[in-house]
Amino acid sequence: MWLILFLFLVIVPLEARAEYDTIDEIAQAYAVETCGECHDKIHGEWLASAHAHSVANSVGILRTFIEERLQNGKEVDRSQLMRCMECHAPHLAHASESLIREVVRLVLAAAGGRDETAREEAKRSLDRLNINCIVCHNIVAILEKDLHGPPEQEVYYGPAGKASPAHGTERTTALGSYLFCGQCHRVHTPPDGEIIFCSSLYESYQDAYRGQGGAETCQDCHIRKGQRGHRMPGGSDPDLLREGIDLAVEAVGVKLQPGKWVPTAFVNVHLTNKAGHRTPDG
Amino acid sequence: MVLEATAKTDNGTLIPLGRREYLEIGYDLDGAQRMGSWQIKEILDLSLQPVRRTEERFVAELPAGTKSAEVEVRVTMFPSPKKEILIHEAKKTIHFEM
Repeated sequence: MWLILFLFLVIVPLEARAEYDTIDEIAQAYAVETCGECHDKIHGEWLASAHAHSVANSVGILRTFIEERLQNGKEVDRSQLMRCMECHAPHLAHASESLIREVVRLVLAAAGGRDETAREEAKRSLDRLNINCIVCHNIVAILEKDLHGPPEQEVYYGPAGKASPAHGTERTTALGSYLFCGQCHRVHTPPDGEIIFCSSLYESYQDAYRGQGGAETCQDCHIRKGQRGHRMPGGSDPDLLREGIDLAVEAVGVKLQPGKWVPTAFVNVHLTNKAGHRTPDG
Repeated sequence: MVLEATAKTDNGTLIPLGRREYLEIGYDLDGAQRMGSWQIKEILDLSLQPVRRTEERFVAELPAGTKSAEVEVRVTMFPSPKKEILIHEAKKTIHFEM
């Protein structure tokens, strides 16, 4: 009993709180190093994923977004930054306005400062904000929140729902569904109804593949096949690209223009996109 | 993503046969191309469609006297401006009976 209580108090990283004032506070509250103590393989795969660097690897485009607003005399408050962070680091919804200002400062420093050391330091700080175990297995784990309610604190949702002494678990089919990935990999609509073309993968998948009878899900290709696991590679992964695109070539040489006999190359190329969505996207 | 076809003749001359780019072009309310996702309101979809085969044909004249040429077709992905991934490369030799 004491062991279970200890595990709940010490191991489970997620801590309920209204607002965080510093990167340290929010990174600590949403830290996932302890997840790796039991789920080491999955944790290792995730460390090599784009999800693990969802803010630090996007500082260039985030800087452009921020600078464009500042140049037009507009501020970048939480509601503005969350237009990006709702997917890149959704737990920033619990950041105080002062922490939001700090994140804005770090983005500008990481992407545009002249001092390389300062740039790297800012990038390291931002790298503590990412899409991690807690984000997917708790914060965004419930689909149809209006029907099922928000996720419970300190409960981790997954396809197995296997009981654990370290934290609460709940079985859900949501994480195995393409709708789950579609929460972010799609055209984004923030609360004010704006249309933001972050990606149109989900729309392409739904309209041109799934809606036409396609059976495979995002998880089939990006997690299960090739045992890719929580690395979940995408369009930057050579193996996945080679698996998703087929090339066939036919070439023939003929001599044209009777009398002149100009050597002419005819090349037919057949490119097949085997992915369940347009390639490339975004 | 870029598809490029070239022919290298038997005397070493490199002839470009053709090039295609597959991408989405995003533009704003005024029809101007934009790169920032928050600026893009419409797209022109020039990408490869899911579970579809795209056919391309390249026809090009080679220098007079060419007896053979090695045709090379390369498919390359550019996930970011600084990153280039060669997805496929295919070579075929063509001959011209003299």
